[in-house]
Amino acid sequence: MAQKNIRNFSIIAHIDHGKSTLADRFLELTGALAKKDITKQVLDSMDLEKERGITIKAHAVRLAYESSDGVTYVLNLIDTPGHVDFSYEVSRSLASCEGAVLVVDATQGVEAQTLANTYLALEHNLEIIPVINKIDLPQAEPQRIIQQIEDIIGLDCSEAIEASAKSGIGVNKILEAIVHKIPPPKGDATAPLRALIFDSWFDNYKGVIVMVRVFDGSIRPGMVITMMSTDKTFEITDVGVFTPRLQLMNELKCGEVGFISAAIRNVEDTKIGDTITNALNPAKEPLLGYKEIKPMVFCGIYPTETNDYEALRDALFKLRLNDASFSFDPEPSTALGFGFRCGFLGLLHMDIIKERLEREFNLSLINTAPTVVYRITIKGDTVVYVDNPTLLPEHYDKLEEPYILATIFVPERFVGNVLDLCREKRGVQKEFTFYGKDRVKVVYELPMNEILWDFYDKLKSISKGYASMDYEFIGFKESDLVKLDILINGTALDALSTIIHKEKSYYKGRQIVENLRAVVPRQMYEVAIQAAIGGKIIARESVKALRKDVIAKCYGGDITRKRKLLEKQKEGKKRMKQFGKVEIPQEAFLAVMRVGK
Amino acid sequence: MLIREIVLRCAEISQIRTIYFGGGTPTVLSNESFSAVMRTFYDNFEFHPDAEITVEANPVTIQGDYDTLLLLKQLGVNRISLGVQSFCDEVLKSLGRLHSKADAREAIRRVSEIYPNFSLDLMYAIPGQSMGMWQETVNEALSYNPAHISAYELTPEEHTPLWDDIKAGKIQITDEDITIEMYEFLTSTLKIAGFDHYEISNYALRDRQCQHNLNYWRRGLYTGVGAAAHSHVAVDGVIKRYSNAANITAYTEAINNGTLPIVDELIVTESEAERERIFLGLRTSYGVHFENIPKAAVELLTAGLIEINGNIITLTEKGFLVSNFCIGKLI
Ligand SMILES: Nc1nc2c(ncn2[C@@H]2O[C@H](COP(=O)(O)OP(=O)(O)OP(=O)(O)O)[C@@H](O)[C@H]2O)c(=O)[nH]1
Ligand SMILES: [Mg+2]
Repeated sequence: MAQKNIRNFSIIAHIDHGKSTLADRFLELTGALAKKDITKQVLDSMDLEKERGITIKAHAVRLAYESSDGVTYVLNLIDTPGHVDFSYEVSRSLASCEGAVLVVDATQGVEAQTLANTYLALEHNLEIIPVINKIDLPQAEPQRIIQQIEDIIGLDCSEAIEASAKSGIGVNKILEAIVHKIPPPKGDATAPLRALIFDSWFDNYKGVIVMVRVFDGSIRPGMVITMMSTDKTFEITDVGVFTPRLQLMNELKCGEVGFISAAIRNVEDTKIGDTITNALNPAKEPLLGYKEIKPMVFCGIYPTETNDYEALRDALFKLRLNDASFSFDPEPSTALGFGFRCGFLGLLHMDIIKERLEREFNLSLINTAPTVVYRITIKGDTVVYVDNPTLLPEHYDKLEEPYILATIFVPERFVGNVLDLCREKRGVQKEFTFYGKDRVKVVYELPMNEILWDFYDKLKSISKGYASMDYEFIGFKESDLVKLDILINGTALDALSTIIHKEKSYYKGRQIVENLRAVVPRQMYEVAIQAAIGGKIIARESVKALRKDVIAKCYGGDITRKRKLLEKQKEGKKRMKQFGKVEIPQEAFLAVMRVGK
Repeated sequence: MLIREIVLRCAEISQIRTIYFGGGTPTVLSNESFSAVMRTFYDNFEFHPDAEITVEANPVTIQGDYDTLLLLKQLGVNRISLGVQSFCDEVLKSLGRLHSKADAREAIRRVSEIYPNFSLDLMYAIPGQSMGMWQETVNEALSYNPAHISAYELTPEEHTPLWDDIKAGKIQITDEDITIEMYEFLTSTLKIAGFDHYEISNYALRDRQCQHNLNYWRRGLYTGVGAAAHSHVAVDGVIKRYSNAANITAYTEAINNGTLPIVDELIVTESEAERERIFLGLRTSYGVHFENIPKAAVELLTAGLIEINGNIITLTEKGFLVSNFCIGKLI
């Protein structure tokens, strides 16, 4: 395929605006998959994606498209996720593209990630093709939405395409725009190989599979390559593309997107963002790569079965191949044994990683309440970062918490509620702008700690689902914070400690203890649950000893049912952690965060 | 219908050791049908010399019916289980029972004249039942010298009116502490009266344990006949549990076609069988034999919930009350 006939692009949008559905239509129209094989959002291949109806991972596919000009083009499409926690996936995908299809829901209009993802595409100097989607819906207002995009984002929409990814209206026009507006990849086919790693995963048969975009030169089986960040060399066994079926190729040419496998057994040898070059004829400079991304949300992850520690470690290494945006470090806990402190980009990300670990690696895990990172200054000039409340030193000079800048889009009628919520969460207003008759953009500086728990859910509920939010980390600020410890039968359970704002500490202490009482099952002995700040008890509850738990009748017809009942109880027990004589269920660790206000 | 099914089942049964005619039998089956059913049993099966044949009866239907009681005896029935529940009219009403305490007394009088081996069913933790009422019921029950007593804590089941009333807050369930006191009164009183607390809810005088029920708890095989009846059988070495269709039409149709009306057949795997053995065995005072005593047992032993004799673990009176918890630890 001639380089001039290649088009590399991503589909970007706010969550649920129809990216994956549009990708379905592309697959259908180009004949990559027969219509009968296209289930809804085919590219969302993970079970978790299907169940939740959201894209979690970017997915790359190669399509052959015969344009109206008679030329057949190779389209390398990357479908991206829309949720703010996965915006890292979007920026990685964009780095491998020359263009982006921006999808905007004709009934919803510009939302927080519409703006954020468009800016990402502009930063990469991509050609943007605006698409107004879902025009099949009766409440669609494409003209108003086009005006909104121009007003809010400042993007020229004179050639925006009105489409329906569901019914197929306008999809041909989008394909034509892709081949005629997006430039072919530049790159020097004769220069030494430079290929950017933008994704990878572990395959039980092939070992590590690496997705690359070839920027210069080309790559073939048998070639010996060097990973430029580690200088490790490997011999390429296979190269190929996903159409979406895996298809082996003789070569990945300059400008192309595809996969390589190279019997890389050691998972740590592949780094997303690294540049691959020819070992015999190496490039001088690596590609720009990706900005190192810093996890913002941390929690401890522990196997419920202590001897699964090694399996968990192995699973974390393998999963990290597929998602470089989470981090993990070994962490011992007196309550939970050996596990890992893991960092994530947000709560959904945390949830997804935990669930993937459990499903894909068949593990049973417990996670502690998520927390942000704190910056602490000791002895005047030593600065340490603490991502686990237990590790907060007793004496320090300064304790700072992370702040974010939140951009919220909301219809005018809900704006009052949003302002109240931000104020309650210790927010400081930075911007307040009206767009058209009905859309308001508000920008707030907020402590990240406050938005971690339930901010997003609240935002959705006080706006009937209409508000959307994007945020970025802006730095640390000093706050009046205290550490709240939870004592079980007089002993502090490290995994339940939290750092919270002093003003709210008494209230929260009481709430946490009450929540815990509700989730800690009755045991053989009474269990005392206390909350303490700096050694002073501020709240106490107790779980009475179990005195009666019995099935009165069990005769011939009851046996199977009762056995299953007992087995279910037992299964629940397995997910508990023994702390002294007390069994603590997973919910207890989350009870800490399920505290209103 | 029943007779046809019994004949169809010949293959499953080698020898009859016990027969149990469940709830309401004498009302549902006329004396003629009952005789016919018994005759079918005698014609088709060999009986163990000490076979236990129980009929479950309720006080309303049996009290004035001396003839039926005699007929049953002639047909070989040697044990009657009477669903008395309580000797307090208020409580019987709250349970929605049709009989009064007078009915209960009359029924017991008749039954005890003919059947020395009779059992009384009692129930406690009933809304509106005080500790005093319960004590009276237990004492009165003992005054009739029954051979066996089954005493159940009332457990509201989902989809029953009682359950709905409790959920709606119309009825208050009995406080846990009072329920436990009732249980403790029951166990200590029956112990003094010479009863063996041989299963969580069952008490018997010497050698008067219900053989039929013991068979359930020992994971013995049994065949249930009639709609919705459950069976536990071994077919070519495979252990199965199944139930008959509960739907009368489906049941009748199958029998008329000469087939067994089986639904919900379940093959019991080895590990399931093992868990059954443990949880059923621990319900009884005979306990369960463990090849290796589980680690969790130590904790239960210190807490006084179990006893260990050699390799056999049994629950104590206190352990029976939290048997689910103990079983969960040992299973
Ligand atoms: N009526 C209508 N519904 C659409 C259209 N396009 C997508 N949808 C629906 O919108 C919902 C979201 O579609 P997706 O394709 O999963 O959206 P997405 O942008 O990929 O979502 P994320 O990957 O989670 O960010 C689904 O229920 C689709 O069926 C359209 O053109 N018309
Ligand atoms: Mg999607």
